[in-house]
Amino acid sequence: MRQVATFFLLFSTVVTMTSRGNIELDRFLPQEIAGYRKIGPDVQHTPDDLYQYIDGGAELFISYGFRDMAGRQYARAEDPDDTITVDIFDMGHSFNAFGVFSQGCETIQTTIGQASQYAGGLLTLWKGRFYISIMGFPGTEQKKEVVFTLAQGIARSIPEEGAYPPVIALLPPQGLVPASIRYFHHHTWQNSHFFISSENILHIDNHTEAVLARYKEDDSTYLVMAILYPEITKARAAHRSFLEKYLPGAGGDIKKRDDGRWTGCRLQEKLLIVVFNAASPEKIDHVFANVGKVK
Amino acid sequence: MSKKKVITRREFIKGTSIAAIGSSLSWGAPAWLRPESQNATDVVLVRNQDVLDESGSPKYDVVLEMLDAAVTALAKTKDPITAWKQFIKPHDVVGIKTNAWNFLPTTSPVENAIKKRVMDVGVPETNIGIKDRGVHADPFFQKATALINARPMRTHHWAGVGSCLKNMITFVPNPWIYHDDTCADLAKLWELPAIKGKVRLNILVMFTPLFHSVGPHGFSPEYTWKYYGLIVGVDPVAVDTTGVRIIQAKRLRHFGEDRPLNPPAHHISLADTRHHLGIADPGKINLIKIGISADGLI
Repeated sequence: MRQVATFFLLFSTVVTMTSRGNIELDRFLPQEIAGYRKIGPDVQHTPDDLYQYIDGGAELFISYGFRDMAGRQYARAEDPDDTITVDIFDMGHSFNAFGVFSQGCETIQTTIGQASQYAGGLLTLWKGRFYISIMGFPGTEQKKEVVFTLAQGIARSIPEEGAYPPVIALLPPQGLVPASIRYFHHHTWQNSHFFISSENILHIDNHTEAVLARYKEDDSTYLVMAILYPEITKARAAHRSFLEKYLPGAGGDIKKRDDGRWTGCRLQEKLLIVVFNAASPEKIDHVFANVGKVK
Repeated sequence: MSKKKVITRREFIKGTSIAAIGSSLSWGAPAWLRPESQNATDVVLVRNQDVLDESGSPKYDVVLEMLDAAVTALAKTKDPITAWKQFIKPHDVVGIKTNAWNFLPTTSPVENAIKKRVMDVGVPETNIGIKDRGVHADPFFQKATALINARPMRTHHWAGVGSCLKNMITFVPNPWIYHDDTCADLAKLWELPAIKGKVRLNILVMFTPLFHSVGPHGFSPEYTWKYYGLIVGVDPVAVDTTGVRIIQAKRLRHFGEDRPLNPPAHHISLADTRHHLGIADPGKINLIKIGISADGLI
């Protein structure tokens, strides 16, 4: 392990890009680490062919503005089936790197990069505009140590942290479950915690910043979605759409649903706030009153 | 300490026996098995806790036993070969459409069990193909007269789940054209000449299903569990509907709260309501359960 640490200390260079924009893995990954040796050529993919590499996951990345990725696989000489796979994705902007990380978030650890998560052999992290995944199944203690060393080396090689999407700061802090935050600008992900609609009833697109989070207070849980639109006219149109399609006949902007829970939405200039499944209309009003102000 | 109920092989087979009924054969499988010909459809869920070895790999002999149990129940006859003959004819050219996803493939014990029974029906080995990727350009699969669709159940970042309906995506060279509205119209695949009317059986492998996707590859062993099951039916929509119900129930149990699939696997319900390929209403699916019932989740 000491050799591994030395490698990264000597190799504390930044992640660089070639003229084609592809990530040069040799700049921040070793050829060998703790008995795991690089096997096969590195892979590189763009939005046009990402589906060939991650069967089923390409559209998720593309919906977050994915630019390109590079991947490397390691295996132990004495057991070629014992592998570790490292994938580094350039998401173009820190907002998107955070967003794609948030989609798979169950717990947040802040020891590597700007946030990381490890479970059962899979480590994911984000830093700057990069999202990184390191798979080392099964997640034995020895293998976990190698995975963490690789992750720390990569994180050090990315010199600058990236900004979080500003819309997150508008969420009321009281009762917020941090690991439940989902940031997105494609309507598919509006259903991340609760099925809202297959349709884009909130007019979410590449020009909007949407965040959805779970809240827990005492024994009560509810969801808050905040969507920041580029223009007031777009925000108003989305507000009208939501009232018509999700809260028809509300008579206002709060309605009791068939299951006895309350849902409400309110427009604050370019910001639309929606509260789902609250225990009472007072709780919704409380959320509205505590949403941050758009600067 | 609770005692595990052990089911002997004889009991297992006996439990599957249903009185045979006569039927006329018009296209390889009897007309009453066609999903579009009726207002209800049979789906068999067969579970056997002996199906996995110590490393978690399926055991061929147990898979074959489970498959026989399912097919005899579907065909409503006692003898496995007689049952298989209701789906496959000796003159058929049979493509076994598998799934090669490296984290959770169909596996050779499943493929070989299917192949064994197809050969038992009288199909020569040279008329049986097994393949996943590239079937759209494979001359054998293009000339196949019968298909058997077998793949594991898993959650999927863009379609909600990858199951029997979606397994036909490798019959096209450009799968992304089916990605609109989170794969809403995957059922259109089943209109392709290489597929339409040819799929005799759909086998959703539920030995160790994936119930939640994380990371770019969408896989973590943390989110698989030993379910020891196969879901088998003629109607791919009904088979997938049954599989999704189990996945949803597992998610509820694991997370302790209702965690919907995201994106929702709406291509399955739309395969019924929009494309009329099969039945997605659980109330119209006659679920035949065979084998262990503990933790069945449905």
